[in-house]
Amino acid sequence: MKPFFQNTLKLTFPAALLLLAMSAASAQEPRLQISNLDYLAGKASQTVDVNVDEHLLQMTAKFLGNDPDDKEIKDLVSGLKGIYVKVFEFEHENEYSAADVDSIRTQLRQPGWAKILTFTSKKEGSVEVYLMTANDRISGLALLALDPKELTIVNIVGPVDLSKLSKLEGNFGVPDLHIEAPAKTKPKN
Amino acid sequence: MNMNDDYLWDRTGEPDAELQELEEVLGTLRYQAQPLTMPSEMKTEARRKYFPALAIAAAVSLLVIALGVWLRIQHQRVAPPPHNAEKKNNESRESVANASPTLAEPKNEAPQPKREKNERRVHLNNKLTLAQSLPRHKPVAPREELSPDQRAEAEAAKEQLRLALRVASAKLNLAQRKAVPAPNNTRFQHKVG
Repeated sequence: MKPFFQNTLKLTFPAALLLLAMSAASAQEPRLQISNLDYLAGKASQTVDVNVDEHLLQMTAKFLGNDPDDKEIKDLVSGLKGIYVKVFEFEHENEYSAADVDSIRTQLRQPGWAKILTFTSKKEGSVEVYLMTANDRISGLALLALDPKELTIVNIVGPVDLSKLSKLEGNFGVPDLHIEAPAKTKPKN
Repeated sequence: MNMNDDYLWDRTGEPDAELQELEEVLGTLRYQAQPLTMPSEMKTEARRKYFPALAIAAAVSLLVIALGVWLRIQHQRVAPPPHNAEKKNNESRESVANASPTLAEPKNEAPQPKREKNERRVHLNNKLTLAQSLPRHKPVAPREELSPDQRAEAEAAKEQLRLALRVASAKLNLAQRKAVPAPNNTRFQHKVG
């Protein structure tokens, strides 16, 4: 029986290598696990938790009409596989710590993700934008916005069009969220 | 004790009776030429031929099992595609919607009133968990047959999507306005879809 085990071991080694390669490929997943931050909802004064997966996206897209706003959304979400947003608003500052976001950062350090934008300010917190690309195409977007009183995590899975996405603010008959503090007059669409 | 020991050297001379008796007793153990026969337990060569094949089969089956598990995990991650019947339903629904816009989207009769400019923030109240509570795999009835509850659910899902996109867009704009692009990653700035 010894040669049998020897041969099996010899063949199992490349098989294990193949499995490792497969698992490495699957690790490059644009979907972030953000549900582990749910415990912050207990501390937060307001919480927004949006989970729109591919199926729900498709279903919702069917209910979008033909007006320009809806068309814009339709164009943007076509091809997407999910949109996941969590916003925690706190009464006071420092009710969450950077350690709370470490689990997200750890995922964003995995191969495939690249940080494309960073903004850090002591007063206004920080915003980090990450992109995952596959075959020179965007396959996912992650955004971490850490305000002193607000924590926002956005994860869009699929080929998101950044220019279209950035144009959406202020559409849908709703004014800008005015997240930016200075009261600049911004031309309306 | 004058003994002639030539017999011991070359078997000549007078043999000793005791010696002859010893020769007869031990002679039964002397070498006797006979053809070589392999013991039955040594005939294992033929069986060994199967070992590499068995090893290959074991490795292949391990691979197949691993691949199966991997595919299953991958399949579970991706939402299942809609059923054929549902697809047909949706197609027909779309065609109906295109043919008669009145059936498709009951347009919001009046445009949503614009919020006042001094309103700085949209209240993000109420934890939205509708996405989780909506039936995911249930075929959706044609729009014209939707009950008021279902319609309300769909509208809420649409609002949820809008809210998500608004938050994403706002934060992205904030980052774009204020941020300095990270070096070595400028190639993504103008990349589209």
